[in-house]
Amino acid sequence: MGCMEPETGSVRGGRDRAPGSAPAVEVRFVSNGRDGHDDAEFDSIEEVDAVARSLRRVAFQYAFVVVTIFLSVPLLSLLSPWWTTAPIWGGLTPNFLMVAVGLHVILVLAALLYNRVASRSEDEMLGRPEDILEWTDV
Amino acid sequence: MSNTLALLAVLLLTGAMLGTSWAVRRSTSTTLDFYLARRQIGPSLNASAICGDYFSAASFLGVAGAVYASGLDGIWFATGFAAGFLILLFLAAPMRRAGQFSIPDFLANRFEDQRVRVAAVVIVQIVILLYLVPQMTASGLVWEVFVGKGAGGLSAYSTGIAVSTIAIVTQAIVGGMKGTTWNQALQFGLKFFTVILVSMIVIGHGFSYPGDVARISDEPLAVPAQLSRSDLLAPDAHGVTALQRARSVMSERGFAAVRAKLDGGATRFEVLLPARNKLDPRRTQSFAEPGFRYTFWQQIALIVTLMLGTAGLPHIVNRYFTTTTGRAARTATVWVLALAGAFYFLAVLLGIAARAELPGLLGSGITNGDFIDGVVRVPEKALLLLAEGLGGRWLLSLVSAAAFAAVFSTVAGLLLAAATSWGHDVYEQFINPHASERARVRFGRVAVTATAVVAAAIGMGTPTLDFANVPRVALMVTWAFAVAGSAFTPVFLLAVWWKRTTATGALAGMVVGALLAIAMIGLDVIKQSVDSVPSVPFGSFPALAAAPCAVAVAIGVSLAGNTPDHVADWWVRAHGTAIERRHALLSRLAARPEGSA
Repeated sequence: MGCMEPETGSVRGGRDRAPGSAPAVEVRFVSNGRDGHDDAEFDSIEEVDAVARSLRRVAFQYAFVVVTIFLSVPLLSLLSPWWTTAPIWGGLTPNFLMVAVGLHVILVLAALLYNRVASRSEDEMLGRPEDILEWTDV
Repeated sequence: MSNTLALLAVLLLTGAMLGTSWAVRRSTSTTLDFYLARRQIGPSLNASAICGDYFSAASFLGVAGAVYASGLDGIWFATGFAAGFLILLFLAAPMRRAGQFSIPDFLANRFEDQRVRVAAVVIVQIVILLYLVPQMTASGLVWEVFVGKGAGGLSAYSTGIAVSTIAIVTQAIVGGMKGTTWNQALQFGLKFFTVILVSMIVIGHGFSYPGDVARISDEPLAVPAQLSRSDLLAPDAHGVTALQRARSVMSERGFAAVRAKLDGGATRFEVLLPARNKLDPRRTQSFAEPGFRYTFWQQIALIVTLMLGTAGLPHIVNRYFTTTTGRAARTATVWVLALAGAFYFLAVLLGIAARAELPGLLGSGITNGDFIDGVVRVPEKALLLLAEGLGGRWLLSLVSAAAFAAVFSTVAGLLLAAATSWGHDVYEQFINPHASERARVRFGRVAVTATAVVAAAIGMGTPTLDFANVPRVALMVTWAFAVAGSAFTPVFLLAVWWKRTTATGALAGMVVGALLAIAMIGLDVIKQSVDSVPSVPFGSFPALAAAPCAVAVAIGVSLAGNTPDHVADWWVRAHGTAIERRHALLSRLAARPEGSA
């Protein structure tokens, strides 16, 4: 049903094989999953569960920190007159600078860090494509 | 005002857009081509296209207008718009790896439930209409400003909407998602170039960001108001009349005009009033201080609504389905956050510059169709008027073209998202599951056209809505954010990160979130004209209340049901990287010189 995407399939290898043994490689073309009857062999559920839990923890930590910083901006405007009235550069108050510039910088830094952590976690916890490549070369 | 140069700029933009779509017209033969550009969009192109898609009229004209009208409170729009991509960063890779066509398709496959699909289709269409109408409004406003004339018996405003609709529909049905992607990326380039150029001209004209913020914050923030004679003369609780308050912020010339009207027996008056500070009523409200537009809780509600809303917008989420891999989707989001930070910094700068520079450029005390005593009536026009004041028709032409590009790129994305939902989730699932690819694509094109016509018709009716000096494009867009952020984002987060979520739980969460958000927005709108209606705590930003309710309902109903037993396959596909590793492997093998070991 529907058009098929020529992108599905699977590669197994890496963590679940014995050290020194040839990695099992299996590539199959299957339906794209939209029909709900995938028969492909993907990463093992244990590996995926582990990486999902890890990334969920990291994502929630990052979200908590960023949201706390965001919400502290209006909170400080209630608690501290200095935050909203004391100019620190021309007419720019700490509140103004934070909303206009600071929060954007924090967002970008958080995104860069999360992207790096997520990619590293996936690389370390899922698969070993370089092993497969070596095996294929043989 | 008639501006042939600006008209020429928009015609060039339209020609370039149609030419781009024509160049890729052969890439629309299948639904995967038409809706998702064969999932071959790389991260940098997708980031540019997402920016083109996302930086709508609300971002381009609305943010500068909101800052112009509201000072610091208006800047929160820019920051909130950008912040939503952080949530998308956490969702992007799993959603892309799940490999579906649309939000309803994603949810229906995650939960293996067609009820979820149907509910999601309804909410997607509501969000898209709420988002489309202000874009249409913006196209009418821009046309009004720089052309000022209608055609074919239509007003200038309606002509702008009609021209935009025809151009965008043609582009979308000819080029599909691939053409739309390239157009959105190019249009983002035009918008970015324009804000950079106007910012440089403003700075060259003597504008100093910190210095001018200090200067305009030295005096009370003045806001336009339309008052009846009795409202003008009635004393408030402190015995001060609106007329006396107007005297404190209006120019000699402007106030003299009001006095003359008063003496002449007029019944309606247009005045400037000092803004009231909602955070501390004892303080004079200045440009650089919070409190004019929002109370503390309204600020929180705005931030939460914009953050959650961005992650649930159908035209943005659909762009993630077009990218090559989950990792590419995540990388694109990082790029988007960086580009959004730069773009919104400049949009805010231009809003400040408009407040600081327009009185000097145009002379104080002007009251006409665009100004009340030198303050722009419709804040979305502030950037256009600033450009005209600084660079004459040439610069106005460029800004007008960029404003149209903002409308074009966003509307095209919205129309394709609507078409994907109608075509893939309704037509292919329920009406004609055995339709040929040709018939499916044809239906998608019809859906694009029909959605555009409905939105244009509603857009032509909206000038009768009176939002006083509220920046209405940005405000109306926040309604779409509110519904999307209340209905979809909580369910996305649960679907992606909590395996225990059930179909019934997701359905209940989505419906509760959407209904609560719509009810609160509706009450808030009615409250503006009917005093007896109870006030809504968070005004137009109901996600602060509706999204937690949606989460609570989804979790509660999920826990009350049985643990879903079908989720393992989906979970492995969404969180695993096997397919991407295989792609990388095959690409590396294919790239090797023949015969190498």
